[in-house]
Amino acid sequence: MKKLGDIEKKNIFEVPDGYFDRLALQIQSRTEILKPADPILRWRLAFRYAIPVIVIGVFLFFIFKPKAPSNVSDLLAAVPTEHLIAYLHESDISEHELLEALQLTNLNADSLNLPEEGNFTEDINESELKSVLENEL
Amino acid sequence: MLDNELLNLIRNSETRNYGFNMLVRTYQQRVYWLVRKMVIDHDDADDLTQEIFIKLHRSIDNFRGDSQLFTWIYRIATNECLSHLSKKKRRFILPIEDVTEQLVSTLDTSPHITGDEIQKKLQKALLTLPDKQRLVFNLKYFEEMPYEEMAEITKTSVGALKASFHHAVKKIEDFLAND
Repeated sequence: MKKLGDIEKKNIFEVPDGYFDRLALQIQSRTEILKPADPILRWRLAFRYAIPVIVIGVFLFFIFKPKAPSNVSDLLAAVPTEHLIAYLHESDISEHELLEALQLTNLNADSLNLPEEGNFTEDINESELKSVLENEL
Repeated sequence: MLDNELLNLIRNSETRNYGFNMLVRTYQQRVYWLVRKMVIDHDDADDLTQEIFIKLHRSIDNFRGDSQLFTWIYRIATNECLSHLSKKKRRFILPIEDVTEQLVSTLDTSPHITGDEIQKKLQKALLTLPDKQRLVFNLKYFEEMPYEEMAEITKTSVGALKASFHHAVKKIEDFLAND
């Protein structure tokens, strides 16, 4: 059995003549093209090109900025009344649900020309009330 | 020229190119032969050696001197070799053995390989080893590198390297006996 120690230690690989002289020159020509980046130059270029791009970007953003959505009341006011009525007819909302959803407040009462909540007869005396009822009947 | 002198030349912007050229001339043969033994083919070794020195040029400013310059250079060179062989195997759609077959074929046909039959047989035996084990064998057997130095280059323990080398020797001897 052949032992490793029995084999002559030899380099069987060869190179073309003058290879290592050419190799050094080739590497030299490639590395001389690569220069380390100048950090100050890098920043100057960044300012020269990046800042105008940023300014234009901000300008375009404000030009094409999506408008903030209006409040719901404004949106509803823009819808024609007949469309609203048609929608209510076709929807499944009951009168009860609709009244609950309205949530009348004092402010709403004013806008509907309704008197504020309270005791309607509080400020009317008895004789005045009698007079109103006799006239109505 | 001493490593410190080389580094001083390279770190000075006026003498940088000259200093790096001196570094190339100092280490090019060692790097080339390390690579050539791994990739077998001269053209592949040539390309890879140039890439290694380009990489060295790019990262020389990062060398902090916590190891010898030679160790640092060899570390980059060995990593690039293993990476190259790994990529080559991934590019092959066929199984890994076909990359080995291609390298064996190069041993038989390349004009830049001489040596008698037993020498070529030894190289073919080496090609049956995993790449990292083959690298360890080359460093120990052909370059007679101390294990401690090899450990610094490969970032592997001395014990693991010794085991790897002895196992490689066993496999080679079995190959030579059976072939």
